[in-house]
Amino acid sequence: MAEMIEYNCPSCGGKLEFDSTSQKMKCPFCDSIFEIDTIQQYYAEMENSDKSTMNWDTQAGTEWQDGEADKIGVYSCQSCGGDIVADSTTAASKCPYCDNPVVMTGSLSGDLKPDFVIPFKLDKKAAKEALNRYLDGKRLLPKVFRTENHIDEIKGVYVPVWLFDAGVNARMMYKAEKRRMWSDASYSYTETSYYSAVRAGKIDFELVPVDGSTKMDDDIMESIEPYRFNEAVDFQTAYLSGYMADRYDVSAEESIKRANERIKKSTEQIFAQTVKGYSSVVNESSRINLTNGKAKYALYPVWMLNTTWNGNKYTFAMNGQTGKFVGNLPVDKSAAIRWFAGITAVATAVLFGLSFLL
Amino acid sequence: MIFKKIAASLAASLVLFTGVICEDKINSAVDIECVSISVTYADYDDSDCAYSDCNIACIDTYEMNNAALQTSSGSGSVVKQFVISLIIALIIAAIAVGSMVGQLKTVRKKQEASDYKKEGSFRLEESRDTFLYKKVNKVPRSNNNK
Repeated sequence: MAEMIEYNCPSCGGKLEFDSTSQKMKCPFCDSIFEIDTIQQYYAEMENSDKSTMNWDTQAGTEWQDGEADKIGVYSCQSCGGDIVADSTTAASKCPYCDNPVVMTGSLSGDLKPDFVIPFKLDKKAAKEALNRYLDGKRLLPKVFRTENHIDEIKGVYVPVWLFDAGVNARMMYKAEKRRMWSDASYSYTETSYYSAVRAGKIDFELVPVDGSTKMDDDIMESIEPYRFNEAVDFQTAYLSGYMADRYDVSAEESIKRANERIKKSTEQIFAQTVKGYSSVVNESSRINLTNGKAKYALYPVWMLNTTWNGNKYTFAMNGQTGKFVGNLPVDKSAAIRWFAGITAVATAVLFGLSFLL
Repeated sequence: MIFKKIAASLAASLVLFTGVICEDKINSAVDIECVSISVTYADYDDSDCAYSDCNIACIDTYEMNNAALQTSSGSGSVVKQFVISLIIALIIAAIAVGSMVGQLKTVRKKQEASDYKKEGSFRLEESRDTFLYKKVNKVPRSNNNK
């Protein structure tokens, strides 16, 4: 049986949840509020003084096929005793029977323990409001999508990310052109001067995030960036209470390629900006050496919203810290055609009229 | 944002449109000037006519030619202006509608990591520009082709 923890209110015994507003643990039943450190310390002392053992007989059903069981974790809710079947990468969830928040500490110990966590700053209500604001003013959004829009699910998820620091040593060569034009009575002249420009130097990048979970769409995670890392805190399991969380299933070694791609692109842009005073600049060759330091492992807060319309599933995501909201919406093709025709007609009339005035 | 894009498109199209229309009018002016010059030369070269008679006759010829030129090219010019207006309007509409569609698609892969550049860490250690060669291209001016 996998290890898990629930935080009970020392006052009434209700299940504590992390409150994004007060940044403390709050009991939804008696409204008691506790400091994170106090609760962690309280539970550490409880664990030391009262070592209970729970031996469960799990021999039932048919045999799992090879490797199949490795992907599934079975947890027992300490509140109602119900079995919680979850992906082996799940680090925090809710009991499907009593809705109590649970944290699977086995997914967060040893090498799997995150270094940092950015706690949720925005709550579920803010996510709903952000969705409504997001849908406003979209002229090509089908009206029925807005009116029939019922959110299937809103969940706060801590997504595992790898954070890479990198030192860059770069040497770039550019071919640049300067153009000068003049004319005399007979001819127009264009003089093009060709230059070779060399730029070399160093630049550092820090905390470049790469999604460490295969469950989370990489493009969505990159779309809701950036996060303010100065608000990150040392990881404590209490922050996960009341939210979903996964542990990484993409290793740091596998993730480093993506970080390097983004760092290389930025390096090229930064060096190209130093080649000034030319009509055109073309990068001829670039040598970019990256020295990656140790990667850090962190959990970033994301609100995920899912809705279904016309048989298609639409997923939206909101940065749980900054509120940046993203998601792809359906396009009303008939509205697009109407707008295209309308703009064409008005613009043609205006331009045609202007042609007689000019 | 969308309005900025539309405004920029409109401005660019207007500049293009103004350029096309003005070019048309300049070409007409050049044509008239050329006719006028040829008429003047005809005055002096035509030894069979008295200067004043010839001048009046030639002016009449010029006015008739000019009127005929404007009547025949007038409808063509209007059609041309309409077609140009329509093409520019189609471009504006495509940009505007494309921008509206873009508002509905906000999930995009990030290509760069500029948000994570360490402040003050950029050090340019070598910056060298070397002149390689020069090339001059000359094109005959269009006025001389006439």
